Amino acid sequence: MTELFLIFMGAVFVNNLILTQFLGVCPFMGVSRKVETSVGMGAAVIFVMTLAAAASFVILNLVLIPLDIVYLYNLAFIMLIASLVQFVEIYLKKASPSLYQSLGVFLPLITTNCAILGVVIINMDRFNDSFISAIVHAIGGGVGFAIAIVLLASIREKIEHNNIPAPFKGMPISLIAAGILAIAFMGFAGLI
Amino acid sequence: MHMVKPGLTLLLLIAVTTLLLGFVYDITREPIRIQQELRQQAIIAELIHGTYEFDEIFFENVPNVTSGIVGYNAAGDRLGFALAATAPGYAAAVDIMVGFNLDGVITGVSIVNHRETPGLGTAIATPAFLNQFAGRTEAMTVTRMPSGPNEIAALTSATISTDAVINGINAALAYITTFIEEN
Amino acid sequence: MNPFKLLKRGVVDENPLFIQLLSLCPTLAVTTQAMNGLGMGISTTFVLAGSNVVVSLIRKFVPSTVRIPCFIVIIATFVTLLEFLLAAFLPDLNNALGIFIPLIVVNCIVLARAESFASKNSVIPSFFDGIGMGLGLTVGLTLLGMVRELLGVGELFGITILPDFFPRTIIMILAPGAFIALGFMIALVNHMRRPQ
Repeated sequence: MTELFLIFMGAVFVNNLILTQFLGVCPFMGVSRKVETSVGMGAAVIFVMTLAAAASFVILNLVLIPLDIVYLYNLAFIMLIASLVQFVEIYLKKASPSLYQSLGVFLPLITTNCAILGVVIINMDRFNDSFISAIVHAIGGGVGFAIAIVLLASIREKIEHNNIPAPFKGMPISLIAAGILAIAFMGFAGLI
Repeated sequence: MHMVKPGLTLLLLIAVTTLLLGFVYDITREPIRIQQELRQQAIIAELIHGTYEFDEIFFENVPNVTSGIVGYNAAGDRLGFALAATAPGYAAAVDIMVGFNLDGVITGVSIVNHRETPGLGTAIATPAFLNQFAGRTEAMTVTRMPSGPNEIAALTSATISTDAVINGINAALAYITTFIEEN
Repeated sequence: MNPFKLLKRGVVDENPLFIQLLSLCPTLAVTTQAMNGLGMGISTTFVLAGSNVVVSLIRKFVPSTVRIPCFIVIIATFVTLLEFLLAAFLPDLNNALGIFIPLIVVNCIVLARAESFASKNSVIPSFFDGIGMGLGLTVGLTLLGMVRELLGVGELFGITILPDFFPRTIIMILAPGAFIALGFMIALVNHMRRPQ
């Protein structure tokens, strides 16, 4: 139990997907303008990431390894994630049209979100011992992503009306804010 | 039904690419294996100076140690030993090789394989980090502020990577006496 | 479109990194050293050119509804081929770039070029578009890598440049430094592009 807790905390803080490992930076920069959309994006990522981890664990251990075609992992995983996102999109359209609208083009972009594929590959390398450790790592990764994206959105909302020099408006100042956030997260190094 | 043609096209594409990749995989398998062998030979030559040839013995039940090497010079005299150890690193397992002289004292440590984070964990492969292990015989621990003789400073932002190397070295240290006795 | 124009567009006018602001993940992660940035740039260019050519070749046979999955399959194939080649012939670069080699498959720029250019143009222009965009990315990656390596450890491509008394800002090769350095570089590009 402690080991799972450590995996979770590690994934959320010490090895935060965005701020430490640089996975998921594109949607991080693109969606974090408003706190509301960020919460939605964070939730969607947690959901898709966990499902992707579960499905990829099954595919890896029941298909790729027994057939000795592990070298096809890239192809298999990306197709898996693409299909998963497709299903999530269809489901969201029906279940929550407002959330679907506010996420806009970023939902299909979860497919190209390196965080999802990144977590799946890390699971294959490090957390393939048990299903539960793979899942916990994925949930932790998603939660860490969500926390980082909501934090950055709050910062961006606050500085929106500040007097930012023209060349820095938009992406540059967000990157610098993210950098300072990353410095804060460096404080977690050595936590576990 | 309108999904049939697109679906079949996609399936055909996947079939073609899978066959192609299988073919290239077969072709590159041998060069990859040769690369790894050459690499291993270079590392052994570095850890056991003057090695002309070596025996490699693989282990099943030794914790974290995968194989042991006995190095000989051209005349058939023993020069030293090496143990290949592995420990979980940050991104994947870190494979190391620890060289020992005939008395079981560490001569050096080499990183054989790692996938640690560029710029952070990759510091474990630098001479600055690896040179501190020569001459050691006792197990070490990783701390932020080393005070004792067997304490090693954790690398900046790469504690897990540092742990991996130290755990591997400690496992090798734990087994070296048995290995020398058995060989 | 003539090849030279395509190349110039990829490197200058529509630089994937500084203008289009794509492919941020690998940029931030591998530019700890100039050499790694260069290696990643060339690797991505390989995939870009290759997938652009194949997508362009089969563009008339791919039904629109499954075109994105088809593009992804083609890109994933080239990335896997790249993985084999690097493991066989450049293992050190392979280890340095680590997880970001397989992640080229989700590099937004590769899919974007397949979708917006290669699927609508013939093979030769698609090839040069891939090379151009890849070159632009390589320039960006190498420049950022040079800045971070120089400020962080005082070296360029492994050669010590800065004299000893010059302070080394280690944070430049750590995570925060990546964000901050890129932020300043894009601000610089914005400043250079502002209407006169």
